[in-house]
Amino acid sequence: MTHAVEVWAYRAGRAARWLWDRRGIWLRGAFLTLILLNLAPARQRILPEPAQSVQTEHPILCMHTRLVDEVEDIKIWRTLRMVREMGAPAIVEFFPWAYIQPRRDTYDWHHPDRIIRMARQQGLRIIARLGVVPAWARPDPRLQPTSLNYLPPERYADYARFVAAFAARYRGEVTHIIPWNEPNLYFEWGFRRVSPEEYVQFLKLVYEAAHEANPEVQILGAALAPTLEPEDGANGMSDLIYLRRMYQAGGGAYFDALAVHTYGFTAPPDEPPSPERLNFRRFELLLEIMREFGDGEKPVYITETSWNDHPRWVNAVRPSQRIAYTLRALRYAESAWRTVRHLCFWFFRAPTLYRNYMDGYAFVTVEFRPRPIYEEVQRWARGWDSTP
Amino acid sequence: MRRYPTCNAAFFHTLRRLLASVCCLFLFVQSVRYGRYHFRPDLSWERVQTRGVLIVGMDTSYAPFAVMYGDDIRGLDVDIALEVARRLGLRMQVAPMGVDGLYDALHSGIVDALISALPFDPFRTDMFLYTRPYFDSGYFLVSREGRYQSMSELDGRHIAVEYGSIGDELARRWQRRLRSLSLQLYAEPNAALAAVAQGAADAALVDHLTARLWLRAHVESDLQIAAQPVYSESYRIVLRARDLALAGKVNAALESMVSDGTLAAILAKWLG
Repeated sequence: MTHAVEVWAYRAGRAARWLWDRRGIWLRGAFLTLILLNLAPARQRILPEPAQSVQTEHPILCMHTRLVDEVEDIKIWRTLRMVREMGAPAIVEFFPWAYIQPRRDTYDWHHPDRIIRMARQQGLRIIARLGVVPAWARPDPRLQPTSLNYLPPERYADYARFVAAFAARYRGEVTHIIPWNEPNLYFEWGFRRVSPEEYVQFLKLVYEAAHEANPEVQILGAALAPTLEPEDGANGMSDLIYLRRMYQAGGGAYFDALAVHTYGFTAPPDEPPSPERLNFRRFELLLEIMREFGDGEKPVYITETSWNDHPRWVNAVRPSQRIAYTLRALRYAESAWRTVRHLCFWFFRAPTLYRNYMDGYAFVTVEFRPRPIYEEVQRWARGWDSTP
Repeated sequence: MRRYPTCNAAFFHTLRRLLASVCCLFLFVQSVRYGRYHFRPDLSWERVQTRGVLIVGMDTSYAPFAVMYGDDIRGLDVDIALEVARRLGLRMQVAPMGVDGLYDALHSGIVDALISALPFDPFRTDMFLYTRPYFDSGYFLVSREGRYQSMSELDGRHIAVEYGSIGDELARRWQRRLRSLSLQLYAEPNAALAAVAQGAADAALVDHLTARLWLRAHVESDLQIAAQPVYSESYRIVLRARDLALAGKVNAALESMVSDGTLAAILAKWLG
């Protein structure tokens, strides 16, 4: 028996030697390929499930998700499933231009494809915010260092082409697009002097290009940051002044609906609005300006709102107040703000902890543990037993 | 006589040798870099000793840990920092700053240590060291005469929590584990503790800080805090990972404060 094994091993060795000598280059290539293939992480597969629909009694509810930096399919799927189970029929998601068009002639749609496919499978409406300028659309950093939000006017047409490509690709899937974010802040405007008139020129190009590519898509005027800055402020411009100047520059013709950011900070949702206060009902001041310019019936999407319950932030409230304010805000918006289509809460879940006050905005922990606010808003949205 | 039978064999032999040499060189350079970084002399203790001052970063807006009263800074963390510095034979200097800037200040060398109600964060341990805990601010059960020490004893009982808090989250989870657990929600953790004192609930699940401050304000109450937390979040002193010598000294000072009862006395002074 031992002899037979020895003979077998000898013959196998000879055969291997023969193969190595005669076909060595191929064998080594095959081994190397095998090693390289095994180095790549295995794709996590989501088991196919039937298309879902959102069960809700309050379709105004919407969540701002943070899926753009999420790598694994399973986490994207689980986030979207929890949004659907919560009773929110819509999400706002950010899709960075720089990720999708890394070179002028190259589009990489694989990540937005994943998110949009999975969101549609969960029956969710997607409001897409598009921003972050790729390096090729910014000046050479050796000549002029710029931030990721810097878009020179001569590149507006490139951004418009990108929005058109996005709108065409996701026709019937993504119905709402927000070009840019909070253009009334210097930071968001690439540290250039903020100018509502310039934003209107930019919006006109985007609006026309997007509608040419997809006539059904709704272009939302970018949400303005609620701020008390004066007209020539060091950090930006008051949202009220900015919107008025946008309308004066003829901007009303270039958005189908308006996106709005309105945060409660430490004030309850029913605190009356005032130009000197930042609170939830500040939106009503924007609405007055819209009415003044004959745009009062235009739909509005509140794409960011929230209260924060971080224990160490000066603008935070207690967890019990956060739940109470959130539910009161939803009820108020539903009954009093007729043109508001969605009230989207910042934010559902982050891929990792921020390790600062931002963690106090999450509805679901990084480990997918629903916080009590999730359960209470779910109870309200799904029409389950009354909240305490 | 030719050394290689074919040009092809000579080429691959040379290529292999070249690749092996490059790999060896890379490993050598990396080893030298690693060694220079990790085995350099740790002079952190000598540096602080020479200076004679321990500079401590603190968020001075978080009562009762550190609060500014005019030019004066007082609080539990200040007393701990003073005592640690005294035991190390140093003077203590507070560098007041916002909570967001603490770790950056430590990393960039502006301060020597952070004593600012900071919980252990496993994701930061590549750059920072954490000493032994000095206070557990997690969630504890509070009941009359300390009748309930763990959540599993609360089957068929009433538990009071602050609505929306981590205590609420934990209690909801335990509701699914036990046969029956009645949840009573209150707007403030103090109200949850008052409910237990009045007999409206069997136990409250609140954070340790609130529980101790409430008990200090209600000395007549027979409520007691459970010995072990349901959810632990311990505050520690933070130092740079490369300042191992200084961290060892600070940790030893803290250990001695625990063993001789000084830490308990400081906690009692501020929290009752």
